[in-house]
Amino acid sequence: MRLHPQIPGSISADGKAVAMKPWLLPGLLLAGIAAGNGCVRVKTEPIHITMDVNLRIQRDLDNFFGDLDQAAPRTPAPAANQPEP
Amino acid sequence: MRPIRPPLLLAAIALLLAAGSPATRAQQGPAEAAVLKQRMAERLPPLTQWKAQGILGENNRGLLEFMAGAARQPAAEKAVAAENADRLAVYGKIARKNNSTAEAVGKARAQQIAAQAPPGSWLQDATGDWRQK
Repeated sequence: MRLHPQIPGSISADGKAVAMKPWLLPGLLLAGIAAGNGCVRVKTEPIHITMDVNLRIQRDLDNFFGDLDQAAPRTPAPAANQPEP
Repeated sequence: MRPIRPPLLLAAIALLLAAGSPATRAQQGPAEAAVLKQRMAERLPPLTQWKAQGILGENNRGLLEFMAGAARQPAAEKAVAAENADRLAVYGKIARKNNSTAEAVGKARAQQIAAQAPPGSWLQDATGDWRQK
């Protein structure tokens, strides 16, 4: 098997087996873990942020319009056949 | 030209920075909100009456709209324009605070209005159709 002189597990041009560098395997494992963690965050965080923003908007609207909504008379409007706009 | 004294220059810079600081803006915020709320409270009785008469409806963007064929009195036109301008100002403030858009805040407000509106009110649903509650 002759892949590339620098690829571990292959045989170099002079016929010697290329040994894997000692830092390569832990490095690849760490990179894989980091990439996996990144994917999880991308999928979950925006949902939480969107829900949080909607809740905060609802709360701010309640804070501002709460008094006005309570002050508004609640008498039913007459059931007129009003044409739609 | 007369040179500006360094302490005066520093004081002017400090004043300018303080005017634009978040603390100052936070102090201006509640006062501005109180003014907006006061104006809205004053407009509430006639607007409620026009809504009850079927002249006005609440659209799906959290704003008032004249119903088609309804008589457009100048007083009502003026009140609706002022109310919608104030509502947009409130939506904009809430949007900026929450890093959202005034449109999104207006839609959220439209849902609140629809839920609280008395029977007989004209409301525009999310698809754009007008229905009487």
